Amino acid sequence: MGNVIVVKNVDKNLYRRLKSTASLKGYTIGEALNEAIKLWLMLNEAVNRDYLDYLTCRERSEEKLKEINEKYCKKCKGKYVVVCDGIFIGIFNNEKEALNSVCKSKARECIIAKLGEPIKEEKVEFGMGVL
Amino acid sequence: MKFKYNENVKPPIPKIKVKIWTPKIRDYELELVVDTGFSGGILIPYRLYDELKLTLAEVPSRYFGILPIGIPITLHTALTEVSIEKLRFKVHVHSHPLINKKLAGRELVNQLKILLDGPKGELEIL
Repeated sequence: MGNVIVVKNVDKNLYRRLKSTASLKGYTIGEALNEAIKLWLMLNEAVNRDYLDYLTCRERSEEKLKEINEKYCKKCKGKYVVVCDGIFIGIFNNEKEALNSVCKSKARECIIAKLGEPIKEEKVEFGMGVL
Repeated sequence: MKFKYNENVKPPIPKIKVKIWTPKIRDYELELVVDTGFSGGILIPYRLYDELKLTLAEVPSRYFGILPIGIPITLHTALTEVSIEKLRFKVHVHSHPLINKKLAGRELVNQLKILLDGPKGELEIL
Protein backbone atom coordinates (compact mmCIF):
# COMPACT_ATOMS: atom_id res chain seq x y z
CA MET A 1 0.00 0.00 0.00
CA GLY A 2 1.28 3.50 -0.85
CA ASN A 3 1.03 6.59 1.34
CA VAL A 4 -2.18 6.70 3.37
CA ILE A 5 -3.52 10.10 4.39
CA VAL A 6 -6.63 10.53 6.53
CA VAL A 7 -8.58 13.71 5.81
CA LYS A 8 -11.35 14.97 8.10
CA ASN A 9 -14.44 16.94 7.08
CA VAL A 10 -14.63 15.80 3.46
CA ASP A 11 -18.06 16.51 1.97
CA LYS A 12 -19.68 13.08 1.45
CA ASN A 13 -21.60 14.16 -1.66
CA LEU A 14 -18.48 15.62 -3.27
CA TYR A 15 -16.56 12.46 -2.41
CA ARG A 16 -19.32 10.29 -3.95
CA ARG A 17 -19.23 12.33 -7.16
CA LEU A 18 -15.43 12.15 -7.26
CA LYS A 19 -15.56 8.37 -6.77
CA SER A 20 -18.10 7.76 -9.53
CA THR A 21 -16.42 10.12 -12.05
CA ALA A 22 -13.01 8.64 -11.31
CA SER A 23 -14.26 5.10 -11.80
CA LEU A 24 -16.02 6.05 -15.07
CA LYS A 25 -12.73 7.43 -16.38
CA GLY A 26 -10.68 4.49 -15.12
CA TYR A 27 -8.82 6.48 -12.44
CA THR A 28 -8.21 5.36 -8.89
CA ILE A 29 -9.41 7.78 -6.20
CA GLY A 30 -5.78 8.56 -5.34
CA GLU A 31 -5.01 9.48 -8.98
CA ALA A 32 -8.11 11.65 -9.23
CA LEU A 33 -7.26 13.41 -5.96
CA ASN A 34 -3.68 14.04 -7.11
CA GLU A 35 -5.02 15.65 -10.32
CA ALA A 36 -7.50 17.74 -8.32
CA ILE A 37 -4.80 18.90 -5.89
CA LYS A 38 -2.44 19.82 -8.76
CA LEU A 39 -5.19 21.85 -10.45
CA TRP A 40 -6.11 23.58 -7.19
CA LEU A 41 -2.49 24.50 -6.52
CA MET A 42 -1.96 25.76 -10.07
CA LEU A 43 -5.10 27.88 -9.93
CA ASN A 44 -4.16 29.43 -6.60
CA GLU A 45 -0.55 30.07 -7.57
CA ALA A 46 -1.54 31.62 -10.89
CA VAL A 47 -4.47 33.80 -9.93
CA ASN A 48 -2.76 35.90 -7.32
CA ARG A 49 -2.92 39.62 -6.66
CA ASP A 50 -0.16 40.41 -9.12
CA TYR A 51 -2.09 38.70 -11.91
CA LEU A 52 -5.25 40.61 -11.03
CA ASP A 53 -3.23 43.86 -11.15
CA TYR A 54 -2.02 42.92 -14.59
CA LEU A 55 -5.61 42.30 -15.76
CA THR A 56 -6.69 45.70 -14.43
CA CYS A 57 -3.78 47.40 -16.22
CA ARG A 58 -4.66 45.63 -19.48
CA GLU A 59 -8.27 46.81 -19.19
CA ARG A 60 -7.14 50.41 -18.59
CA SER A 61 -4.78 50.25 -21.58
CA GLU A 62 -7.56 48.95 -23.83
CA GLU A 63 -9.81 51.84 -22.84
CA LYS A 64 -7.06 54.42 -23.40
CA LEU A 65 -6.20 52.88 -26.75
CA LYS A 66 -9.79 53.32 -27.92
CA GLU A 67 -9.62 57.05 -27.05
CA ILE A 68 -6.28 57.48 -28.83
CA ASN A 69 -7.45 55.61 -31.90
CA GLU A 70 -10.44 57.96 -32.21
CA LYS A 71 -8.26 61.03 -31.71
CA TYR A 72 -5.24 60.21 -33.89
CA CYS A 73 -6.55 57.57 -36.28
CA LYS A 74 -6.70 59.84 -39.37
CA LYS A 75 -3.78 62.09 -38.48
CA CYS A 76 -1.24 59.38 -37.69
CA LYS A 77 -2.52 56.37 -39.64
CA GLY A 78 0.14 53.64 -39.97
CA LYS A 79 2.20 54.87 -37.02
CA TYR A 80 2.60 52.93 -33.79
CA VAL A 81 1.07 53.92 -30.49
CA VAL A 82 2.22 52.68 -27.08
CA VAL A 83 -0.09 52.62 -24.07
CA CYS A 84 1.21 51.33 -20.72
CA ASP A 85 -0.99 50.71 -17.66
CA GLY A 86 -3.66 52.95 -19.20
CA ILE A 87 -1.21 55.82 -19.81
CA PHE A 88 -0.50 57.11 -23.30
CA ILE A 89 3.27 56.87 -23.82
CA GLY A 90 3.60 58.17 -27.36
CA ILE A 91 3.27 57.73 -31.10
CA PHE A 92 6.23 56.27 -32.95
CA ASN A 93 7.14 56.14 -36.63
CA ASN A 94 7.87 52.43 -36.64
CA GLU A 95 7.51 49.27 -34.59
CA LYS A 96 11.18 49.20 -33.57
CA GLU A 97 10.94 52.62 -31.92
CA ALA A 98 7.76 51.52 -30.15
CA LEU A 99 9.44 48.36 -28.87
CA ASN A 100 12.46 50.33 -27.65
CA SER A 101 10.17 52.56 -25.64
CA VAL A 102 8.55 49.61 -23.83
CA CYS A 103 11.92 48.03 -23.05
CA LYS A 104 12.72 51.03 -20.85
CA SER A 105 9.26 51.00 -19.25
CA LYS A 106 8.67 49.91 -15.68
CA ALA A 107 4.98 49.39 -16.37
CA ARG A 108 3.04 46.23 -15.62
CA GLU A 109 1.47 45.95 -19.07
CA CYS A 110 1.82 47.69 -22.45
CA ILE A 111 -0.08 47.52 -25.72
CA ILE A 112 1.64 48.32 -28.99
CA ALA A 113 -0.86 49.07 -31.75
CA LYS A 114 -0.73 50.28 -35.31
CA LEU A 115 -3.01 53.29 -35.66
CA GLY A 116 -5.92 52.79 -38.00
CA GLU A 117 -5.83 49.01 -37.83
CA PRO A 118 -9.01 47.37 -36.50
CA ILE A 119 -8.91 45.69 -33.09
CA LYS A 120 -10.14 42.16 -33.70
CA GLU A 121 -11.24 39.17 -31.69
CA GLU A 122 -9.37 36.07 -32.82
CA LYS A 123 -9.96 32.44 -32.04
CA VAL A 124 -7.07 30.08 -31.27
CA GLU A 125 -7.69 26.37 -31.40
CA PHE A 126 -5.92 23.98 -29.03
CA GLY A 127 -5.33 20.29 -29.62
CA MET A 128 -5.08 17.63 -26.95
CA GLY A 129 -1.38 18.56 -26.55
CA VAL A 130 -2.39 21.47 -24.34
CA LEU A 131 -3.84 19.20 -21.64
CA MET B 1 19.10 21.99 -38.50
CA LYS B 2 18.20 18.85 -36.62
CA PHE B 3 16.52 18.48 -33.26
CA LYS B 4 16.22 15.24 -31.33
CA TYR B 5 12.73 14.12 -30.25
CA ASN B 6 11.90 14.31 -26.56
CA GLU B 7 12.46 10.70 -25.47
CA ASN B 8 10.99 11.25 -22.00
CA VAL B 9 7.51 11.09 -23.50
CA LYS B 10 6.14 7.76 -24.73
CA PRO B 11 6.00 7.60 -27.70
CA PRO B 12 8.73 10.27 -28.26
CA ILE B 13 7.56 13.70 -29.42
CA PRO B 14 9.14 16.14 -31.92
CA LYS B 15 10.50 19.38 -30.50
CA ILE B 16 12.37 22.42 -31.80
CA LYS B 17 14.63 25.02 -30.23
CA VAL B 18 13.88 28.65 -31.04
CA LYS B 19 15.06 32.02 -29.79
CA ILE B 20 12.48 34.69 -29.08
CA TRP B 21 12.95 38.41 -28.68
CA THR B 22 11.55 39.68 -25.39
CA PRO B 23 11.67 43.10 -23.74
CA LYS B 24 13.79 41.60 -20.93
CA ILE B 25 16.12 39.18 -22.73
CA ARG B 26 16.94 39.79 -26.39
CA ASP B 27 17.35 36.17 -27.46
CA TYR B 28 15.69 33.83 -25.02
CA GLU B 29 16.05 30.17 -25.95
CA LEU B 30 12.94 28.05 -25.78
CA GLU B 31 12.41 24.36 -26.38
CA LEU B 32 8.96 23.76 -27.86
CA VAL B 33 6.93 20.66 -28.55
CA VAL B 34 5.57 20.68 -32.10
CA ASP B 35 1.77 20.57 -31.91
CA THR B 36 -0.14 20.87 -35.19
CA GLY B 37 -3.43 20.78 -33.26
CA PHE B 38 -2.58 24.24 -31.86
CA SER B 39 -3.41 26.96 -34.38
CA GLY B 40 -1.44 29.78 -32.72
CA GLY B 41 2.28 30.58 -32.91
CA ILE B 42 3.89 29.78 -29.57
CA LEU B 43 2.32 28.86 -26.26
CA ILE B 44 4.22 29.32 -23.00
CA PRO B 45 3.20 29.26 -19.32
CA TYR B 46 1.99 32.62 -17.98
CA ARG B 47 4.73 32.68 -15.34
CA LEU B 48 7.41 32.64 -18.06
CA TYR B 49 5.47 35.14 -20.21
CA ASP B 50 5.43 37.53 -17.26
CA GLU B 51 9.08 36.87 -16.33
CA LEU B 52 10.23 37.68 -19.88
CA LYS B 53 8.20 40.91 -19.77
CA LEU B 54 6.17 39.91 -22.80
CA THR B 55 3.33 41.71 -21.00
CA LEU B 56 5.06 44.88 -22.28
CA ALA B 57 4.70 43.93 -25.95
CA GLU B 58 1.06 42.91 -26.14
CA VAL B 59 -1.17 43.21 -29.17
CA PRO B 60 -4.43 45.19 -29.08
CA SER B 61 -6.55 42.33 -30.45
CA ARG B 62 -8.13 39.83 -28.08
CA TYR B 63 -7.35 36.17 -28.50
CA PHE B 64 -9.62 33.41 -27.23
CA GLY B 65 -8.31 29.90 -26.86
CA ILE B 66 -10.75 27.04 -27.34
CA LEU B 67 -9.76 24.06 -25.21
CA PRO B 68 -10.33 20.56 -26.65
CA ILE B 69 -13.30 20.21 -24.30
CA GLY B 70 -14.89 23.29 -25.94
CA ILE B 71 -14.29 25.79 -23.12
CA PRO B 72 -13.08 29.25 -24.25
CA ILE B 73 -10.34 31.05 -22.29
CA THR B 74 -8.96 34.57 -22.77
CA LEU B 75 -5.32 34.42 -23.78
CA HIS B 76 -2.58 36.96 -23.16
CA THR B 77 -0.83 37.62 -26.43
CA ALA B 78 2.33 39.41 -27.50
CA LEU B 79 3.83 39.74 -30.96
CA THR B 80 7.53 39.02 -31.17
CA GLU B 81 10.32 37.88 -33.43
CA VAL B 82 11.32 34.25 -33.41
CA SER B 83 14.60 33.01 -34.81
CA ILE B 84 15.77 29.51 -35.63
CA GLU B 85 19.41 29.96 -36.60
CA LYS B 86 19.23 32.26 -39.67
CA LEU B 87 15.44 32.06 -40.12
CA ARG B 88 13.38 34.86 -38.62
CA PHE B 89 9.60 35.17 -38.29
CA LYS B 90 7.06 37.40 -36.61
CA VAL B 91 4.95 35.17 -34.39
CA HIS B 92 2.28 35.57 -31.72
CA VAL B 93 3.19 34.26 -28.27
CA HIS B 94 0.18 33.23 -26.19
CA SER B 95 -0.14 32.35 -22.53
CA HIS B 96 -2.67 31.64 -19.81
CA PRO B 97 -2.16 30.96 -16.08
CA LEU B 98 -3.80 27.55 -16.33
CA ILE B 99 -1.63 26.37 -19.19
CA ASN B 100 1.71 24.90 -18.36
CA LYS B 101 2.89 23.71 -21.76
CA LYS B 102 5.47 25.06 -24.22
CA LEU B 103 4.16 24.46 -27.73
CA ALA B 104 4.96 25.47 -31.30
CA GLY B 105 1.71 25.74 -33.23
CA ARG B 106 0.71 26.01 -36.87
CA GLU B 107 1.34 29.78 -37.16
CA LEU B 108 5.04 29.01 -36.67
CA VAL B 109 5.29 25.47 -38.04
CA ASN B 110 3.58 26.43 -41.34
CA GLN B 111 6.42 28.83 -42.07
CA LEU B 112 8.93 25.98 -42.01
CA LYS B 113 9.77 22.99 -44.17
CA ILE B 114 10.00 20.17 -41.66
CA LEU B 115 10.98 16.55 -42.00
CA LEU B 116 9.83 14.30 -39.16
CA ASP B 117 12.16 11.33 -39.13
CA GLY B 118 10.35 9.08 -36.68
CA PRO B 119 12.67 6.04 -36.88
CA LYS B 120 15.69 8.26 -36.15
CA GLY B 121 13.77 10.30 -33.57
CA GLU B 122 14.81 13.52 -35.30
CA LEU B 123 13.09 16.65 -36.57
CA GLU B 124 14.91 18.36 -39.41
CA ILE B 125 14.28 21.87 -40.75
CA LEU B 126 15.01 21.70 -44.46
